[in-house]
Amino acid sequence: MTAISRNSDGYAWGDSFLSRIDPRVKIAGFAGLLLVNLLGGSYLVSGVIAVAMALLMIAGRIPYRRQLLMISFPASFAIFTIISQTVFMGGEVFASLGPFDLHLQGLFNGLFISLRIIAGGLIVVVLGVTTPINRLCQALRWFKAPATFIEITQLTYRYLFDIHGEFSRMRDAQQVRLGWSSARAGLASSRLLGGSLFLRVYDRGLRSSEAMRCRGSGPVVNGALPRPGKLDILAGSGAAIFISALVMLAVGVAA
Amino acid sequence: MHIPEGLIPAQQAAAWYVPAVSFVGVGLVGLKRRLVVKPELRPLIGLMGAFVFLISLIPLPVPGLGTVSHPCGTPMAAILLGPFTATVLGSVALFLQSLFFAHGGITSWGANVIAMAVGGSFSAYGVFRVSRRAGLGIGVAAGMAGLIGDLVTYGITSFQLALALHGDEAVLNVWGAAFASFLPTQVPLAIAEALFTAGVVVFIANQRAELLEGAVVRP
Repeated sequence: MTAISRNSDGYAWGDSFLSRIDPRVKIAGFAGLLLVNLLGGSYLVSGVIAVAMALLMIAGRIPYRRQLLMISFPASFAIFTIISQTVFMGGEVFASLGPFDLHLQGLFNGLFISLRIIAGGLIVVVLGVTTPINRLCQALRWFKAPATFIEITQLTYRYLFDIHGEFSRMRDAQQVRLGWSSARAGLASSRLLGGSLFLRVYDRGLRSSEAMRCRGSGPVVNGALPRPGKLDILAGSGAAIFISALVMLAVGVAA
Repeated sequence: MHIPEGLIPAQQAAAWYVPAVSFVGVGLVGLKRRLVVKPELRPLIGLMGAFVFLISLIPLPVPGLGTVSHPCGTPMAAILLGPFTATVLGSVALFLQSLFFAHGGITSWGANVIAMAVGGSFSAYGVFRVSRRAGLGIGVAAGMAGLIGDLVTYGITSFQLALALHGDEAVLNVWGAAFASFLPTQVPLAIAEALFTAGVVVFIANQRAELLEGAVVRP
């Protein structure tokens, strides 16, 4: 559960130049990078994106343990992809493993997709780590994302931390009572934990609702983003030039 | 298991987005109407979204493998809130998880929504309703819903992976191979999800039966 605290947007509120960039610019830039990464179709394009994102993370002083933690999931999928492609993709057989032939073309294709996964993962990590959720939601609203979706996202995020403490306390208490000492005990504890948490969440939701109605609160999405400043224009221009260069690189490689 | 960013090709990512956005859109329209009629549901829905997010982070031991996995959460959410609301909450959870943990991704969000939010919610809800109409107890019905919802989620994810990675092999062959390769971990996990879902639903039925009547939680 500590991973939630570690991965929350605490860093995003820091005084990093990446955090100060207008979220609309970041969303537009990173969306462009995600598309180029998917459509680029070459090692070179995904490799350049991965290196650029890694450099951004270093320049933004994002803690390396957080970087490793967040990239570990895409990395594990990359290994799965290399194995599956080496087995299922046709081409020259370079080795056999029991009933499976291992194909050279599949290995290269797997490595390419893996690089694409790592590059894509790094793009999302940089966006997620450097953008506070409320500014991200404001920017999404500016891009005409459905208000109800944004509102549920904000409420979910808000209450995530509201009930996080309760969840941790209950789970710690179960651990003290050896509630997670075996598979059987763990299952029983998770049932109790899930049921109790649901009921507490329900009761707290009703109380919050009453309090909000008393205060006359409405939907959560509010507040406009400030006009883009010099840093935003600079970042937007840089992103546009970088994406254009990547597109030309992709077209050049394809040709 | 969420499909990460960059794994599925652009065309397939776009193709999965179409049904995902449709389901989430219908769910959002229904939810918006509910919130107009019953604004007091607003924090409750937010809390339920957080609940689904947290539930999907509870580690469950996978017997024999020395590792842990986690329940999907959407089957239980579908039983308690209805399939469309569970779809919306699942899609929000996937969005936040992709940002917080790089679990899933932005371009693969559509595929993940179809597998976990839509597949898990609707299959579980259907099984639960049919089982209840067949006269099964609430615990058995919830357990079956959890089991099927979990397996359907992984069946769809395996299909999506097969479609993206089949290479020169037939998609169905790769699908079968991918699903079979997940079975050693997935069958115990599906059973664990069934026991978990049944346990939670029975716990709620024993403690606060009115919540399962649908008066407030499922209006």
